Amino acid sequence: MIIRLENVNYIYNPGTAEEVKAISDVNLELGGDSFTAIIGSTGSGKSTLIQMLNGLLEPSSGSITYDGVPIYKEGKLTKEEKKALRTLRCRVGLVFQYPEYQLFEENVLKDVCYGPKNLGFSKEEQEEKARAALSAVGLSESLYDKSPFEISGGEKRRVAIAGVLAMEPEVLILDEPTAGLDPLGKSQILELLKKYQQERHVTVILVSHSMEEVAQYADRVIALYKAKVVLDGSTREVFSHRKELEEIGLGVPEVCAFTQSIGLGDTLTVEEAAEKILQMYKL
Amino acid sequence: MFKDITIGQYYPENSIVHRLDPRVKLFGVVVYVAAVFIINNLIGFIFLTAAIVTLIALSKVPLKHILKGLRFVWFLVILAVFFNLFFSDGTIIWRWWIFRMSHEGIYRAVFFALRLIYVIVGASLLTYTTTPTTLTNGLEKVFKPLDVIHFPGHEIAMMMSIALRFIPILTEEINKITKAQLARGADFDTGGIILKARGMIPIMVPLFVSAFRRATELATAMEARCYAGGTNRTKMFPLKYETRDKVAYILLFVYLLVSIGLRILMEHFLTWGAV
Repeated sequence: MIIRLENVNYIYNPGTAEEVKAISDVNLELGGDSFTAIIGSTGSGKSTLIQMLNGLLEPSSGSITYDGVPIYKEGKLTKEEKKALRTLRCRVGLVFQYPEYQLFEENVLKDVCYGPKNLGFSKEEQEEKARAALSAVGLSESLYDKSPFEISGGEKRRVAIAGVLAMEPEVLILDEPTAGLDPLGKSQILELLKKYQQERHVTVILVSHSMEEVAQYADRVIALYKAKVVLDGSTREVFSHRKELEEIGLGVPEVCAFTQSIGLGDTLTVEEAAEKILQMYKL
Repeated sequence: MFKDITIGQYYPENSIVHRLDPRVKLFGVVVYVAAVFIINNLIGFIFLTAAIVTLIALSKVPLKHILKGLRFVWFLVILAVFFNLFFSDGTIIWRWWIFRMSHEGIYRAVFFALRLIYVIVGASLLTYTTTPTTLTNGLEKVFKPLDVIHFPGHEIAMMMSIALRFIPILTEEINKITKAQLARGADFDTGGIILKARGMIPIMVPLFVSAFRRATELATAMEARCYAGGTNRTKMFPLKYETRDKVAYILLFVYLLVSIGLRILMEHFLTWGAV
């Protein structure tokens, strides 16, 4: 699925003293077979942007189309359009920050079934999808009938992500899915996202503050600053703009800064840097 | 759905009403509420309106903001009006099935609605112009004389201000959870009342869980800072009466007397417009 944004603006509290322009004149094309990262300092408009992508927020002006089809029309939404909006929210899955706070069912399996249930699948299909999603996030079967309130934080996070995965979205958006997790938990979640993306050739959009994570997993990076898109390109290309990134309160991965400062150019991962250094010694 | 609940929330502004001592404002609310129920005629209500309008103007809180806070009590007002309007005895002017309308009922309905709205507007003006901390300090001082009967004044004041502080936090939480469930394809619009109520479960369960979690966190944070209730606790900024507070007290007394006076006068010398 291709999501196209044209001249999109979003204004909070329009017409009042607290008016804030959260997204300003953004033109973007997202989707396809890609692992995209959205970076930007706090308050740059990332959360607003991703909520517009799955129809939770309607842009103040501009248009958003999904495979060329717009969802918003003039005036009030009809029943059909509301339904279409609901289906869209399932095709474009959104995992919020700290998603574990949205768990509510009596057991893990039931909670993951909630999404497929809303999509109108039969009971068997719901369970099948839930089980598939739970095993994709690497949760052991012994936890399925536990209450989502008595498992550990990292497990909760994975259940919540499974809750969205079970709807099998074509575009999966995650807002800082690794915040507050330990290093192992972090890499587990990122690995499973990468796997989901590569196996199904869908789009994963990751909002992250960790340049290391972005460099290691993403193939495309979009940088936001003060409600505008300032950089958009392949990961390597974006991280070659070290000065610009530092000016907007971000930066490049530590390893990239290191190799740049010793004159070895841009690198994205530790492995790549190691190789370059070894080559230098061989010469 | 539960966007921007304004009632009970502080509205930052630098006005004379904001600067008044919280004890004066608490006393003011008591006098005002008493006056609302003492007054029983048109002239009294005009006088009351003049007083509250002046206060709102002085407080610099926009009228629109105050009316927005009333949104959640309309239901109560309509309910009260309905019962007064259709189930009052007196000079019946209209009757159908179990409903009856009377002159007295109409008067009562109108005045009851007015009273309810006036009380809420007045009371919310207190929270709009007083920060939770100041309000707690004020309440504590007011409850102080009850120490002799071991009345937990400080604790009650603290609980009230925490409750007020939690309104915006929980509102935000509801919005967040609602969005998260919408992203999982939840449908809060269609279906009958039972289906809709069941649809609220995915919001209510996480909300309660989070409310308890936040309460525990707050308690831990307070204990970590050695909070141990009101005894032996001194204040960074002890409350002190200024000239404006004394003037306000005098004005409030005059206001109370006038309200009582108006009622007596109207009852003895004039018969029109009374309820």
